[in-house]
Amino acid sequence: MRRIFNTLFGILLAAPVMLTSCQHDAAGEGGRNYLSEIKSVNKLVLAQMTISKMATIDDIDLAKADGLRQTAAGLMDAMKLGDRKAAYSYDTYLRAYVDLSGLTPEDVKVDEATKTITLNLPAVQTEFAGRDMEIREDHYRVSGLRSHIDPKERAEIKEQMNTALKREVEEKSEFRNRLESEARAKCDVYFKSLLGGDGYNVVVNFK
Amino acid sequence: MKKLYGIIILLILVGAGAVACWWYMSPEASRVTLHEAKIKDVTPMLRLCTVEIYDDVPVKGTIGKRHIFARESLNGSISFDLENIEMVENGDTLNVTLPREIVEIYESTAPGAYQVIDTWTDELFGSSNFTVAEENSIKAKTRDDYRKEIYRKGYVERARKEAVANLTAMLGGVTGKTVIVTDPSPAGYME
Repeated sequence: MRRIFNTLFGILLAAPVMLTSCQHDAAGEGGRNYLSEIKSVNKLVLAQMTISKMATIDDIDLAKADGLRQTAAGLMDAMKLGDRKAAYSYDTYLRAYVDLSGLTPEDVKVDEATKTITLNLPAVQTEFAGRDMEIREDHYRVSGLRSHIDPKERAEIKEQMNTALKREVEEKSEFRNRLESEARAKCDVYFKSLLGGDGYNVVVNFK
Repeated sequence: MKKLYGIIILLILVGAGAVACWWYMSPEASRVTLHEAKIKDVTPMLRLCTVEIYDDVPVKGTIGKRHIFARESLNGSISFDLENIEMVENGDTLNVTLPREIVEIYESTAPGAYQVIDTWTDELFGSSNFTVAEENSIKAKTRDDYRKEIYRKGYVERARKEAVANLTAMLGGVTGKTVIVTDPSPAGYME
């Protein structure tokens, strides 16, 4: 009886630990909650887009203040001695690629009768390669008794810029469409030059 | 008299409630204006990417008596330029030489990728502020150190091995020829 009780008690103690470890694994795979990860991939990167984002810091103009909060903040700013103006920007990189791990022998068809090679490549995908580590200071004027813009504030501004940029890329199809069409054109040229040497007509399709 | 006090208290409460409502319903006061994102350029390329790295690194730096400590998430990739690849066709065999690797390290675009945890000074009344140029130089050093670590940990060696296998499979599958990929520098080309 005592042994059964001990076993049950042990299971109860271990359960939260087991559940936590399961959750951790799931987050690691889906949500990219990683600390350090190295991953083998097989991507043919075809185009990269550089997207620039800018943010400016300035006092709230009382004449343009909308609502109580902005009016209060505008009044506070108006009472401060000096100016606090700055502009920051940085670049983010969006890239287009084809995942070659999805390529199978059936995706390459050779028709000797018509001298045609048909290549069915996986669809072009896009992803953020990353952003510049550095930030550009395009303008900086802090005068009077105003506080300097410190690294913590700059990091917060960069975070806001990043969130807004990702939302813009998500909402405006222009970004991905332009990149994908450039990638498809590049892929077309490459495989035609690689395979068209022996007088073959090369047709490149994307799944 | 008591009735008058009651009315005054009620009016004050209603007024405070109205101001609170107005406060919460009014737009947030932000001194930051975010401008529209602009496409700077689109560069066509042809690169075989074989390894991707995600890592969190500490950013530590000292300039004079000022110190900074931050946390940064990095996105790295190791790829190979296929446009300038050396290919020699010999009958039904394609001899390919693996080019120099391209190691790219960026700051991640994941939320909270760069967080400044602390800045301080050893001087009693000195400023602990860092200019953009100073902060950028510390981050550039972090990137350079991390690049060396990528080589030291053998990630480049692994990427080159994968590239040999992937290129053999891709070119062999597409051209139908026997592909031999040679790697003149398996450990990579560290600068």
